[in-house]
Amino acid sequence: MSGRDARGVAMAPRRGAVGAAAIWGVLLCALCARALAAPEPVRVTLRGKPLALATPALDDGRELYLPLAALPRLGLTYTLERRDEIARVTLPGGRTLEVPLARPAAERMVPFSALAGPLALERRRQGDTCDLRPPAAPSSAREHVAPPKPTATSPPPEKAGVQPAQSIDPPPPAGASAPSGPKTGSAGAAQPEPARPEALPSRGAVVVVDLPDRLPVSAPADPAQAAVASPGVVLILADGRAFLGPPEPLASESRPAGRIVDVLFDAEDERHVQVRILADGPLQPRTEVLSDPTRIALDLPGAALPEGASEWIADHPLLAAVRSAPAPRPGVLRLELELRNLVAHHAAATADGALVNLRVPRGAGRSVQEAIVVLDPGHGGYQSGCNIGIGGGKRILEKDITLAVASLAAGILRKSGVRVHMTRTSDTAMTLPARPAVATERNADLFVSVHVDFTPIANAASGTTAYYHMQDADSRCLALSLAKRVSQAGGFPNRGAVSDRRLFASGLAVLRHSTVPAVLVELGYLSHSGDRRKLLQPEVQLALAQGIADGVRGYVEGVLPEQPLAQQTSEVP
Amino acid sequence: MRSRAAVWLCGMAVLALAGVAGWLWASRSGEGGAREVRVSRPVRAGDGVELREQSIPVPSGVEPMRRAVEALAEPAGEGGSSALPKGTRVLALSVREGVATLDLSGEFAALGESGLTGESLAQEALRRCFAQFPEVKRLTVTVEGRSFEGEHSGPWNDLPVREEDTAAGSEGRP
Repeated sequence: MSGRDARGVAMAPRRGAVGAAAIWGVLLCALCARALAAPEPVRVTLRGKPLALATPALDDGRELYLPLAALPRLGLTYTLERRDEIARVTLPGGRTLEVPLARPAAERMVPFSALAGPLALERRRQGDTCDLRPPAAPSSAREHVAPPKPTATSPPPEKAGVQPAQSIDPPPPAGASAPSGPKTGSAGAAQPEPARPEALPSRGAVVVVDLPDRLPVSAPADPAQAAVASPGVVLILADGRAFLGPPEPLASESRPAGRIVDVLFDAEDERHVQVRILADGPLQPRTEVLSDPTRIALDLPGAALPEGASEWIADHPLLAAVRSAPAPRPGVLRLELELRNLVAHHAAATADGALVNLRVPRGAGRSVQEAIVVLDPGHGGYQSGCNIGIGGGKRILEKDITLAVASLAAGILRKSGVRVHMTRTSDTAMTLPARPAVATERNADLFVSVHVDFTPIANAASGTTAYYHMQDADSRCLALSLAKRVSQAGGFPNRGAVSDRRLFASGLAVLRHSTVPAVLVELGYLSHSGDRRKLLQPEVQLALAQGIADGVRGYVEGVLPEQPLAQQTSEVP
Repeated sequence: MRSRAAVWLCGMAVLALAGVAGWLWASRSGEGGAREVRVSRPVRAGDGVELREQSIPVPSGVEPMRRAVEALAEPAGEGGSSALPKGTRVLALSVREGVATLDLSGEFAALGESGLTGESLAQEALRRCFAQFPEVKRLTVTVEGRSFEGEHSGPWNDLPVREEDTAAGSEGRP
């Protein structure tokens, strides 16, 4: 079949070559197209609010791939199965999904399409940002959205600078032209966007409204989760915006929980008192210890005060009163427990409200002379701790300062009649578990480990911090007492009582192994020139030692950290 | 002659296609080509220090996990600091059944002189570093083959690398 053209050139091979080139050309184009469609990193926002993801999401135009770390931020939990090829995802309602993981790049990721339906979210790409949001609103959505009603559990919108969602027309930002009609956008945004009523089919509605200024409110843990919430409409103020929408995942922070009916005090004895918050529904109490004066804040998301009552007087040696206080966040009722003594506390939900148990801390509520205390000068021997050169080949070593201050504190306490044991009295090394073991062996009441801190950046931090283990209520009381009195005595900023879980997942070793109330106190920072100068002065070391002794005494005698200790009538020679 | 030229052209096209395909495969599998890892370094923040993440490129042919760890010990820019003691090198790194075992050089032992804050920042930086690799769930650190024990935190064995796997949950750094 081969022929020749007019010039006598063989035609069949030429046609074949052209055909092959065409096929390869098509293949080349397909490969190029695939390369162009390769997933690219995108920022992910949830209803306009960025999701902080350590690993960026990837979008190839057809699919959005989310890193596994994004799931908790969407209110989901997951476990990996089948050699990590499948994620078993648990939805907020408890339903589980099996999601095959994709590998658009090196890491396994979750295809968003598998979650879009169950979460009632869709994605919208704009530039390098992919926004996850509820499906577009029906045209009548706006009419179905009621303006927010002020309730006792959240500040009235007018007070908070918020107007009903339908009529919001905030002043334009400086330099921007005043738009007509309702506008929306975050505080500080250069250009307000149009108002966005968004309907969640059969789930409620969301309206984002402008606020004139940033409000003193904290952002919800995960605003996105509102999209998968239960029905209902509440006003949620967050991060300069007001969300009118379904609240469940914003939790408990905004859902009306129950109106308080009464606050009762049950005093078992002088060392225990129970505060019962009676409500017409269960409450979810959270507590926080506030300082100056020391008091316990009891936060009750969604709760409301009874008509005409905001203070309840207690007649108990540990507790003076319970009274309402300014809300820390919208939708959260705060009660404050005014204390008379240093107390350990525990809060819990009950069927008809909540309760807070207050008690004298372990080993406290007596004279300090009855106490047995173990002082632990940190480090020692080859473990010098943090150190810094001061010229001439000399170095300041943490182990020397801790031994000096702890020895002085032991002397002061012994003079007061306290039985004190030291984990070391010389420059010797000890293992970490061996230190609190001394307290157990000696049947001690308290364990105080003395340290000096250091930051990798000079002069970045200054002050005294007292660490307690995890959530231990007794150790927290000891830490409160020590942080205040040591910082005050040494003239350092008080960085407060801090849980060691904020440093390490399993906390600090000497506290973890302790069987008695225990605190690790960081006197100051060797990396801070001001702190360092003080830490080296003998008179400041003596003052710090006095602060430790006073902190111990304040704990044992139950004196609030800001209150003066009674003059001791006798000293043991 | 022309048919020969066409065959030669096709051959070149095949080679070019193979090259493109290889490049695509390599870049998608993450084993080579340009990609990034994230590292956390201490920076001044308010009245303290916090970790701040930044992305760094991984050169072709370099294992990303190893590169990420090594970058933690490199000098940071102005106002920052390295998360691990300077000079720390990765002697060995393996991942088996979700547990990464990281063997570091002796320089890492200088962490004992970094104070509680320095030790905490180093552990957190390592945990964050490994958390970006989904195959790693827990981390064990050794120094020249021996178990490492922090002077405040104790042994660095079997540390969870992600928040959700820890008792600490979402609570932040002071």
